[in-house]
Amino acid sequence: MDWNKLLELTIYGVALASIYAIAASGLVVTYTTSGIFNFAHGAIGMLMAFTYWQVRVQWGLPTWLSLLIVLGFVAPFTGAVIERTLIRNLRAAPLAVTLVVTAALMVGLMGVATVLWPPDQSRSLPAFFTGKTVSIGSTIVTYQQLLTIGLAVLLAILLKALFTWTRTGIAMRAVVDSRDLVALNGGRPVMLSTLSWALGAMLAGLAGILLASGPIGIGLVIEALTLVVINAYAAALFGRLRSIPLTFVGALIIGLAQQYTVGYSITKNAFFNTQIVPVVPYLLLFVALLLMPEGRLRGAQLVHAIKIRVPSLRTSVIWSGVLVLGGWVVAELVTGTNLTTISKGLAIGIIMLSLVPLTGYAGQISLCQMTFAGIGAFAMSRVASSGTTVGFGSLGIGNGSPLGLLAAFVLAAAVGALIALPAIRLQGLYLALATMAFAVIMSSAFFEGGAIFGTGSTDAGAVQRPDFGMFSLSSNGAYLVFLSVVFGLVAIGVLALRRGPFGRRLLALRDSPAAVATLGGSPTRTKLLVFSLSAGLAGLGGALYGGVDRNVTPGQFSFFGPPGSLAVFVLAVVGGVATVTGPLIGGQLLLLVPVFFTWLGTKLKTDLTPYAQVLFGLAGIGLGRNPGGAVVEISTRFRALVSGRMPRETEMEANGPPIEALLVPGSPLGAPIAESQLLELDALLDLEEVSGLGRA
Amino acid sequence: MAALEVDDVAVTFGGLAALTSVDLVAEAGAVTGLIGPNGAGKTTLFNVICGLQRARRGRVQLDGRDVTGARTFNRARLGLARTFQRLEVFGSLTTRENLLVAAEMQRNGRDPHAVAQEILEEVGLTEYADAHVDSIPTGLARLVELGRALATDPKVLLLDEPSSGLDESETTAFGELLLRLAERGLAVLLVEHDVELVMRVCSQIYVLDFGEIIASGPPDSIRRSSAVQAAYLGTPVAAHASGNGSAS
Ligand SMILES: Nc1ncnc2c1ncn2[C@@H]1O[C@H](COP(=O)(O)OP(=O)(O)OP(=O)(O)O)[C@@H](O)[C@H]1O
Ligand SMILES: [Mg+2]
Repeated sequence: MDWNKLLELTIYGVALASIYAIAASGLVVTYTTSGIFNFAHGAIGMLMAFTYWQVRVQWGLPTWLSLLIVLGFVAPFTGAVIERTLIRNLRAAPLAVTLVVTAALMVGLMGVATVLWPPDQSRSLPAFFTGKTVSIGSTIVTYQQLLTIGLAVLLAILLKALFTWTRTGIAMRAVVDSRDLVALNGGRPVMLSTLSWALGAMLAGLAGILLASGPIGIGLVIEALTLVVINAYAAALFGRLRSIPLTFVGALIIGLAQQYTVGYSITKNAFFNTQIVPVVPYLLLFVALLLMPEGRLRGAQLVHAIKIRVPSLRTSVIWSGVLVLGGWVVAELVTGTNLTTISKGLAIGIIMLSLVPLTGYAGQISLCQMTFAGIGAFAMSRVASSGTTVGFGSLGIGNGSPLGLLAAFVLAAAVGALIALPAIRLQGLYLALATMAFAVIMSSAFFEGGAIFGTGSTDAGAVQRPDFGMFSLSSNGAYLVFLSVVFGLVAIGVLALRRGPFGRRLLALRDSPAAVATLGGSPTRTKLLVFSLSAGLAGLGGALYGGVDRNVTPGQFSFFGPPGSLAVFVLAVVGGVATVTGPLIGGQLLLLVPVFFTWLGTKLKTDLTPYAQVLFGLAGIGLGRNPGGAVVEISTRFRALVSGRMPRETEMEANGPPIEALLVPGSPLGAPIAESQLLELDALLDLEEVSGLGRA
Repeated sequence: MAALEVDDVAVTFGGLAALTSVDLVAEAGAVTGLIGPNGAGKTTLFNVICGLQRARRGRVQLDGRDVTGARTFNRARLGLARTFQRLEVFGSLTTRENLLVAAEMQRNGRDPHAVAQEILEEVGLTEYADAHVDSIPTGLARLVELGRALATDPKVLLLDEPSSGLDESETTAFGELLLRLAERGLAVLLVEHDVELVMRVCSQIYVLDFGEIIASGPPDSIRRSSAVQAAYLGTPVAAHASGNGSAS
C-alpha cells in the first residue's frame, strides 16, 4: 500500500468534493425554495468563471476586487434576474416545461459565453496563492486546495445556521412543499425565491471559479466546465435535493470515488480509464437514485392543463396521406445534402414522436431518446447487414432485412425498461435526471468505446436502409418518401393510443397518480410500460435515422449532440409534444436551423453557430409563456383568427383544488410561525432533527 | 365479519400526533359516519385505510383480510374505493373518460362503456358527460369522483366531504343516493361537515377529535353526547382545536 499516494488522492478528492459541495448546495437552495430544478446551474457557474477571467485577467483588477465584483454583484444579480424573468412564471407549469426552460437557458448561456469569449483563444486563470504549499509527510498540499476545503466547511456551517436559526432560512426550507403555508405565516415566498436564486448563482459562480483556476485541470472550456458542475447534481441527489448535510456527504463520495478511480487504474485497463472513469459521478447518480426512498404518491397539482383536441382516426389518416404527398413533392424538388438534411429531420421527428406518449400524455421526461436511437441504429447495423467488422459481430440475416427494424424496437424497449426500473417509482424529476445520467454514461461507455460505431472511421458505423424487395429505397428521394410513410403510420398509432384505454390511463396518471392507485392501477407499471414503448419507438427512429447517411457516428447519440438527446427533448416540447405535428416541426427545426446559420455564416464570413445556440435558448425560454408548444399556440391563434375572436388566456384553466384546500385550518393570516406549524413543516420536509430547535 | 375494520391506528407527522389509537368498524349495507372538527385526523385516517399514508402502528382489515402492508392499488382491487376532499379528478379528461379509466382497470368482464353510461345516469352527470372535468363546478367534480369510485364496483366506499359544494336540493338527492348504495350492500364510510346529512343517513357515527375517537354510536346518542358538543360546537375546546396558528 502506497500511503503517500492514498493521502495525495484523498486530498485531491476532498478538494474536488468541496467544489461539488459548494455547487450542489447552490442547487439545493434554489430547488427547495422555488421548487424548480435549475438545469442551467452548471452553465451559470461556467459563465461566472469566464466573467471572473474577464475582470481579473483581461482588465487586471486585483483578486479580491474581482471576486467581490463577480460573486458579490454579477452572480447574485444574474440569479435574481433569471428568477424574476423566467422562474417566477413557471410556478404552475408542468415539469417538462420547467426542465425545457432551464435546459434551454443552459444552452443559451453556453452560446452567450461562446460569443463573448470565442474558444479560438486559450485562456487560463491564475491559481489562488500561486506556488504556496504546505507538506504533509512527502505529500504537497497547495494553499488553493486548503482554501477550497476551508470554504466548503465554512459554507456548511453558514447554511446550517441559516436554515435552522433564522426565520428566513426556516421559511426557505418550507416553501418548496408548502408555499401556501409559508405565505399564510407571513413569509413571502416570492421574495425568498429571488433571494435563493441569487444565493444559488453565487455558489455556482464560486464553484466555477475554483474549478477553472484549480489543479483539477478543467481550465476555461465552456462545455467541460458546464458539465463538471453538473457532476454536482449527483451530490445533490444524495441529499434528496433538500438536505444540505447529506449533499455534502454525497459530494465527498463522488469526489473521492473520482480521484481514486483516476489514481488507481492508470495502467490496468485503457477502456476503463478513458470511457468509464469520466462518468463515475453519473454512475453514482444512479446509486443515489437506488437509495432514494419512495415518496408518497403525488396528488393533483395546480398545473395548467392544456386541452388539445385529439384528431379522429379519419383525420389522422388524411393528414398522414398529405404528409406522404408532401414528402414525395420534396423528394422530387430537392436534391443533394438538402434532401438528406430534410430526411434526417424527419427521422428525428420520428424519434421525437416517441416523446408524445411519454411526455405529452404521461408527463414523464426522458433526456436519453438519442441513446435509444443509437441502440436502435446499433441493432439495425448488426442484424440487417451481411458481415460487420467490429465489436459484437453481426447476425448477418442479410443486407437491409426489415427484421433489423423490429430488432431496433425490441432492443431499445428492453434497455428502456431496464434503465427506468431504478427511477420510475420516484417522482418525474428523478426519472429525468436518471435518463440524463444514462445518456452521458452510454455515450462514453458504449458508443464512444470504438466497439460499436468505430471511432469515427469509415465502415464501423455502417447502418443499412431497410429493403422491402418490391420497391427500392436506395435513392435518397425514395427514402424520404418512406420516412414520411413511417412518420405517418407512427403518428396514426400514437393518436389511436391516445383515444384508447392506455392513452386515457396515461393522462390520468399525469393528472393524479394517487387517484390512479386508489382505483386499482399501478402507477409504476403504467410508467414502465410507456417508458419502454417510447424507448422502442426512439430505437426504431434511430435505425431509420442511421439509414439516411447509411452511416452514423458516436457523437450523434450523445447528450449534447448534435443532434443529441437534450436538443431532441427541448425541440419536441417547443414544437408541441402533446401533438404529433409538434415533432414534425421540431425535427425540421433541429436539422434545418443549423444549416441555415451555416449558410448565413459563410455569406457574412463569420461563425454564427453560437448565435444559433442563443436562439435555441430563446426558443426554449419562450416556452415558459406558451407551455403547449408552437403547434398549440399557432393553432389557437389561427382558430381565433378564423372565428374572429381574440385568443383567450383562459384556454388554459387551472386544474387543481382551490387554494383553500391546501391551507392548514385555522391559521390566522400573517401570524408568526407557531410551534405546531414548525413541527408540521419539519414533517413535510422529513427533517425530524430540527423539530427540537423549533421548540426552543 | 365487518367489511372494513381499523384497529389501534396511530400516525404522527414529525412530532405531531395526527391519530392516536383509532378503532373503527364499517359494516356492509350501512352508511357509517365519521365526524370531527377541522384537523381532527379524518382525512389522515382515510389515507391510512387506502394505503396512501403509512401508519406508525395498527391494522387495517378488509372483509377480514389484513391489508396493513398492502399497496394502494392492491387494496383497491380488493374492493376499496374512495373520494378525496382535495379534489383528485383527472382534469384533462372528460367526465365520461374519468369513469372509463376506472372501469377499464377492473377485471370483472363488464363492458367499461356500459358501466360508464350507467354511472353517468346514476349520479346525474349525463349533461356533463363530454365536458373536461377541470372546467365543471367543484360540487359536480366531487360527483365525478364518486362516480369514478363506483365504477370500480367497490365493496367499501370512503367519502371525504362529498357534499361540500352542492346546494340544498342536490344534497338531499345525494343523501338518497347514499342510502341506495348502502341498500345494495356497500359499506359506506362518510366524512362530512354537514351534520344534518350525517344524522339523516348514518346508522352508526364515530366522532374524532385530536386524533382520538371520543364517541361512537347511533345518531341519537351522538346528538346527546356532551363530549361531542364540547368538541364540535364552538366551546373552548373547539376554539383550541382550530386555533393552531395563534398558539405561541
Ligand atoms: N402530510 C402531512 N404532514 C404534516 N401534517 C399533516 C399532514 N397531513 C395532515 N397533517 C396534520 O394532521 C392533522 C390532521 O389532519 P387531517 O387532514 O387528517 O384532518 P381532517 O380531520 O381531515 O380535517 P378537515 O376537516 O379540515 O379536513 C392536522 O393537524 C394536519 O395539519
Ligand atoms: Mg380532511
